[in-house]
Amino acid sequence: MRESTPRLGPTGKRQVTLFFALIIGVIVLAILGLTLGSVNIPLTEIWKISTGYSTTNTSWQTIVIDIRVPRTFTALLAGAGIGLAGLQMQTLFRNPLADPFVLGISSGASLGVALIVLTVGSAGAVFGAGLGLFENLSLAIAAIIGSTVVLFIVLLIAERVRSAVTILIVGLMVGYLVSAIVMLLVAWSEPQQLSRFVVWGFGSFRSVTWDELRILAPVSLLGFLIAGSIVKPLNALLLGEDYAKSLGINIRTLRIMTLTGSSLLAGIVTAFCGPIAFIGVATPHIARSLFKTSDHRILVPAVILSGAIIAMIAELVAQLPGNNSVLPLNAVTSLLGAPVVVIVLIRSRLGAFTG
Amino acid sequence: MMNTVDNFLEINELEIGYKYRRKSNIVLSKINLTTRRGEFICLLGKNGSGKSTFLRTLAGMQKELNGSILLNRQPLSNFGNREKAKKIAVVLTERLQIGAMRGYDIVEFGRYPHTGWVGKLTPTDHEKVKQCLEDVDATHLANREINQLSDGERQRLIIARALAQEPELMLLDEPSSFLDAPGKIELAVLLRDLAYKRNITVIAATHDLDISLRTSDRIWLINENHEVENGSPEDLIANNSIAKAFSGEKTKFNNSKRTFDPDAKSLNKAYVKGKGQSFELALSALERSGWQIVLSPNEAQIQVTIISNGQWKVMADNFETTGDNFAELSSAARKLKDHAL
Repeated sequence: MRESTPRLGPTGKRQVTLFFALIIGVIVLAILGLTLGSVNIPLTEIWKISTGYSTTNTSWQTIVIDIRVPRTFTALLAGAGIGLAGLQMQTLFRNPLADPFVLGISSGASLGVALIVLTVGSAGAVFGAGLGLFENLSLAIAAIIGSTVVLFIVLLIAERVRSAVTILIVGLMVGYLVSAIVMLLVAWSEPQQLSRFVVWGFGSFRSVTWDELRILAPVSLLGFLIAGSIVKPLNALLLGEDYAKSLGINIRTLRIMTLTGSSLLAGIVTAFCGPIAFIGVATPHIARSLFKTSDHRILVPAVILSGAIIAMIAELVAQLPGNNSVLPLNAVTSLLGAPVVVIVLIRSRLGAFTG
Repeated sequence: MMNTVDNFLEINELEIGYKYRRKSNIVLSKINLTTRRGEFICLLGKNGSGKSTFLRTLAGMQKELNGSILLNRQPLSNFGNREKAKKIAVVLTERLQIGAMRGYDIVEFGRYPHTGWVGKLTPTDHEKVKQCLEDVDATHLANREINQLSDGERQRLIIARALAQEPELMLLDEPSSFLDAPGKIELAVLLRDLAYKRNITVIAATHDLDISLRTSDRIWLINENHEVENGSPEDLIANNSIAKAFSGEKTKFNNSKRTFDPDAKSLNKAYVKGKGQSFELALSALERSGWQIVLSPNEAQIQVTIISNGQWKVMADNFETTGDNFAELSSAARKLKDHAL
């Protein structure tokens, strides 16, 4: 490693090759996502089903169309979204440890979910038994409301505050406050409701249906677009807020765009998939090390691709081929991912983030 | 020359400071200054005298409390963010903390006010970036990774970045604070040359008296009464302004040497005979040992004669000693100082 000085800058053969590799990775993993599962379906049948031909086995069709396709899409969107939100938070707060949840957004979502699962459930035992699709959707809506309220509070404060670090601390405090309420709810809840809440906390890409994808996909795309539209000011922000200002960038607008965009991504993903840990912190670091750049024009697409890849790998591992049980997604991402990030950081001579 | 002033930058009755919850904390007031283009100006003042606040106000990063700043006869507040970025560039005290960037990338940032929303540079932009690198003598740093550069090299790139904005006014806050002594002078000369070559006004806040007196066209001096005085280095020395602004309890500004004498109130006075470099070095050895140099033997408690190449003889009332080098001279002088009083 030592003898090769890294090629940096906006273009470079290495970076083009990497982009190709990542795109191929996404495609391969998507195919694997459709192929692997608890039921063995021949590849030819999967090809037929996904290209629109009818197949003799209708249950296979249901499994592929209604389970594997949405699951794969969800993993792709969620990984990309959470990663992108993490990248924006790390740049905005100039902090390599920041992730999309530092502002208490995930706590807000947790509170929404906790209110539904832990309190409404006790009013009518129906909830404990499960309401199927309606339950899922109501959880999602509760999570969205919860994270939006927290985001709104943080934005309101961000408007008045000069330093980004203060916003960070305020976000943390709001997060603690909200977590405290969740903890109280947990303390007063029945064991049965509690287990439902804990399962939500595991994180999962498999509870998302086509109907929910119709919400998740456009909102995620909106988040991608917002991130894509601010690559230039995000780059300028690398120099520090004062320098960015001196280059003509409106810091307040940028802050609000970044916070809104990444909260949208983090909020919607948390709503449908639970609090997906780790991917948000790790993906930006992996992308920076792979591409050896801090340039957001490269990092935004790089993070989208590598976030999607990480999430899809995690999803494949979580379902443990040949076994019917599913591992908690958050356990898988961290167990597999943490060592990878450490290795990547140690191997790259550059400090991945700053100085 | 005074009638050629074209009032490129005009500051009228400016009051600067901080506003917090309707209470304002005034740092400097009644600032009235004008400059023309192509000047290298040093903003001099002691630590905490308000240099940074003044610069930040000029840069439009901080609102003025009162008065006006006119750039080309237009109030600074009339310019939008982007327009301002094309006219004013800054170099701040904070250290850059970016990893994974080449020198070239840093300079590219300077083109941001001139590029579209993706920040893509045209061939002309790239030409300008290269020119700026050349102007600060940093072409060889273009492909270097900035984490591996020295403070001086980084500073050159940051200045090249400021130049790439093609500003009319460049403001620098303590630009040489991380640099070693030769680096400080090189930087000041570089800034002066840039001001001439590009016909831009360069204002550098500094407390480095010696270098600013030797390199700047004009000095804005924040004096002990919190006023900003404006003049050429020589004029401000001649009217004693520099001496008044900077002399402290134990130091005194020496107008002829353009620097400070330590222990100005020292009662130990020495008279030195000799010539050439050895003579100069003997003065320095005595001064740092706590002796004030006087010009007549009658005032002095000791007389020092420099023979040659560091050979010296010290005579006091009933005492005489000799030595071969300046280390011995200074230790003898220190001993004598303790005994003399």
